[in-house]
Amino acid sequence: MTEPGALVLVADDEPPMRRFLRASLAASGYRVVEAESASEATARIADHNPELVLLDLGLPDADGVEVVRAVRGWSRVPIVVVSARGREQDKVDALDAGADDYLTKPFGTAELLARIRVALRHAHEAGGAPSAPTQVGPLRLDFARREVTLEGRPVHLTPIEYRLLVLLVRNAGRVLTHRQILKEVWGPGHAEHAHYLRVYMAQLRRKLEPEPARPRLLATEPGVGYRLREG
Amino acid sequence: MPPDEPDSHTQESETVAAPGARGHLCAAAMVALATAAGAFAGGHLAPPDLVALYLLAIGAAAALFGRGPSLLAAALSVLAYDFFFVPPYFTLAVSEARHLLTFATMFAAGLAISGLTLRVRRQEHEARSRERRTAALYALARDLGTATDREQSALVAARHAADVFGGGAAVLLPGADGFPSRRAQAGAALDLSGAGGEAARWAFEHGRATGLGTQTVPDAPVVCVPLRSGLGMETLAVLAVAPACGAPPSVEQGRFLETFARQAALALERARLAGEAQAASLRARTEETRSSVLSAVSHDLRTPLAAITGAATALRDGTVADSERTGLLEMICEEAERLERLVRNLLDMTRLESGALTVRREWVPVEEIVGAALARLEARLAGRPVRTELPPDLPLLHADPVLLGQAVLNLVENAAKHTPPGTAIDIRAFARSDGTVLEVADRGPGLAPGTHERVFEKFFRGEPAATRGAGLGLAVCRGIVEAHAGAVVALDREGGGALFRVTLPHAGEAPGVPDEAEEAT
Repeated sequence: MTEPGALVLVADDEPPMRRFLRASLAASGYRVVEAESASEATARIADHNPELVLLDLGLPDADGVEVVRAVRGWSRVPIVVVSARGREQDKVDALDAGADDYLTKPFGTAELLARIRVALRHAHEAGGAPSAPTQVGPLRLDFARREVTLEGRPVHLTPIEYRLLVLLVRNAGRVLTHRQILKEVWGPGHAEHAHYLRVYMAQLRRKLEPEPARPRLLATEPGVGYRLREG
Repeated sequence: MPPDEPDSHTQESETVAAPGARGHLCAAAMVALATAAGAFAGGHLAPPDLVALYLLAIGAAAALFGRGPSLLAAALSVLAYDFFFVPPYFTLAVSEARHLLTFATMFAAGLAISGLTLRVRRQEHEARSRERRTAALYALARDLGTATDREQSALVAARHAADVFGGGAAVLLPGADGFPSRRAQAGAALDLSGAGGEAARWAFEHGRATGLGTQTVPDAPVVCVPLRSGLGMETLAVLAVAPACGAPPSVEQGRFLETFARQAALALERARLAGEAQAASLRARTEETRSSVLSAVSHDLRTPLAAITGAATALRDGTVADSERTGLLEMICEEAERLERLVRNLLDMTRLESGALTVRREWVPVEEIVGAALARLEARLAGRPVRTELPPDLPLLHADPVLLGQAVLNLVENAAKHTPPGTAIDIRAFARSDGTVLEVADRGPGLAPGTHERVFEKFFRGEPAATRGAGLGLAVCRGIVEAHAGAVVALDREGGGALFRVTLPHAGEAPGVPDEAEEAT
């Protein structure tokens, strides 16, 4: 799924971070444009029209969330935000403002490349939800027949559990915030009822995970939301 | 220093005698009574008996009403005796010179009786008030002895002053601005605005009594006495007293107030010295902790940095065999992770201690918290059986998922660090009537005797040789659990190993989740 030669904009004010990102991305065949500030990042996105943006939320001249909002005004380019641990609310704000995923510093190259791959893939898929049956690890979802199988065995889900799982599968590998899921599955009026989601997620895990307290598929992103792991 | 009191003697006598007009009237009535008795007895009484009758009236007036009325009684007695019983009757004229002698004797005897009676009365009164004051001072000393700090001492002194002087009293301690502004008050309300406040400030600044009954700010409704340290010239506080009657205190009251103030000052000074000693010892201990913390932190930060620097330079300079390269790179990654963990715990600890931690409570299943913690530890737990026993019907916790997840992670990480690789870690949760219990247990060597409480101390390390960690994980865990009003204890596990038990109190009923039937589309 990787697009060799895809152009990635790296917006980070720390030279060592830019250097590490440039080296890692170049080694995986990406082309890199760099920006040191939020204003430069916004200008470069407009000029170079990159296929993905890696945006540090701690840029000196502007709030990262504002950058996400501004860019979303005229571009659907996938944005992966980067921030330190302990700043969960910043990540949630950026994601709710339209960012596609996040990375917590410090991170390794494997994690970095996985996030970029997923974000690029979803960007290409955008437009129409796939109707073909989808396989994620041991899980298979047949949208047309509303059928869920786990390692070939059918799993019975309630309507809400099914909607929840469909949303996660359509965004496989990508983080979804509590608010995003609540709005999609329960409707805009329920965006604050995070405990609905937590209770249904626990039910879903009991049906899909051999060990619900050590989920393989339905991962919790503490303080942010959930992610369907691809393996 | 007693308040200046120019006419205190009349004051004092008046407290002994009944108030003026009524006393005089009563004294006159007594003389009239004696005259009536004499007239009623008629010829049965000889003149000396009549004189004795009048002397009785004068004595009674002195005993009951004091000096003025008794003098009046003496004068009236002489006149009445002359008028009614000395011929020529019903005139003040005197026919015989010997009667004049009788009058003089009678008047002198009246004076003597009144003087003696008064003195006895005053002595008795003084003895009684001395006794009262001694008792009051004793009570003050006793209560001050139990006060532990300045505020308490001040309150005790104010309460006793209000009791003794019958009105309102306050001890004013210097506030942040250096003025006597912090009040410990008792009894009736005290007007310390205007003149009262001015008197208090003056007494504080000059160390002299001011206000009511003194020459400085005499129009104040309170008398202010400085409470001065025994050692230096410093004024520690001001005692302001508003007497019940509003009248200035007498000399004797002033003197008593002074003794009272001295005793209160002594207690305040003692409290202050005790406070200073405590602060000094706390400072010393903090200093000690800080230096041990610094040495621990700098060691823990330097060790992985030294390893990373060493490995990286070796790789850069090409001084290692090719077979070693992968190992060194692995080590760099591991040491960097260790550094990350240390910095994370240090930051968490700092946030906990500075009170900057905000607990964002949400309703969350125990399973999700444990699951997230285990997921973050995936790499470190590789090859180690982790058994979880979390009943599906556990109530939702009302907790901060991120913080509590960190607390659980620290417990599991601690177990992984202190037990041989490959040994199992067991995580179990259950509901009790008072809350939810979460246990993390291992089959490692267990806790050394006497360390069950100390393991939660900052920078405590079980066996420095056996493990490498900053000794912060459990301290952070306890801080987080306590921020949730919960408790965490370390126990010996039955059959060997350590068991950490977290108890979180029930935080009310979890909100319901609507029935699916209503929601289904």
